[in-house]
Amino acid sequence: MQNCTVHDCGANYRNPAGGPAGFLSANSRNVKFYRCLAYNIAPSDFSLTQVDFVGFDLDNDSNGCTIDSCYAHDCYNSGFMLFSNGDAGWNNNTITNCLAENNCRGGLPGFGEITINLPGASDPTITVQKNTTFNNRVYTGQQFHNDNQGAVGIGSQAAACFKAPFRRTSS
Amino acid sequence: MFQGTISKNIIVTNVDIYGESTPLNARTNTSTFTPAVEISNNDWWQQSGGLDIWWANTQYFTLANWQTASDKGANTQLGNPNFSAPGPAGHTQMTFPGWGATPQSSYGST
Repeated sequence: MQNCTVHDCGANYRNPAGGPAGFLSANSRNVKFYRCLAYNIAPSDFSLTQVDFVGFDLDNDSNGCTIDSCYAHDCYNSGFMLFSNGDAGWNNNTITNCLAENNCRGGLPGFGEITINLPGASDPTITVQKNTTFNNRVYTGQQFHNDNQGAVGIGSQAAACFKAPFRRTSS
Repeated sequence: MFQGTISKNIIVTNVDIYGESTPLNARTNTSTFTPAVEISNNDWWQQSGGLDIWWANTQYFTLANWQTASDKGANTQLGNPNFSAPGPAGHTQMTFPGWGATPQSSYGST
């Protein structure tokens, strides 16, 4: 898939356990997203904490898939995400030459501009190389019990099989 | 766990509500985190806020301390990745998408 644009999706989606993406592969082999753009993948109401709402996602049982030379900006969570959901078939997936800019609008600490979430014991191989991320959003509010914390560059969650935001409880 | 490569990425971060700037959050609820993944030759620039790296269940505020604890992060730079800055040794900085990248025809000649 190349030269495609997806934007302003998921506004009315309400499911805290899983949400939309601009581009997503699942149960897929050797899919390549190339020179694609995703932006404003976000709920209309940020008061309900939700996962996903990302620009690009190589998800369940993706194998040999690549996101190359793509651009994601202003999404609620990550610009780019690798998420295996513990699936043993998830392996050899790549994010390269991509640009992520001012995503993480929700400020959830479990999501970075690039998120790597690979729970389970399958020990998959990833390549995250030659990407550029930038975020200069201003995050405000109290330091505890506040999802709107900031924007991480690369967020990695590998030890636990869950998809809920990883909240910081102390600084 | 996972393996593979995280390298040659330019990560520009800014301050969070804690006053920190986090290029890498690999926080777990365990005292050790030992993925076989290679993390090297990245530039993590904190445009504002102090450096903050989460690794396993520990928060590091200096690059050296995290490198020692994780045995990752060889040749990491923390400087402004502006286009006149030198890249990590052994890499030639391109205009985009970063050091050592194979020039893409869509980005023009390099």
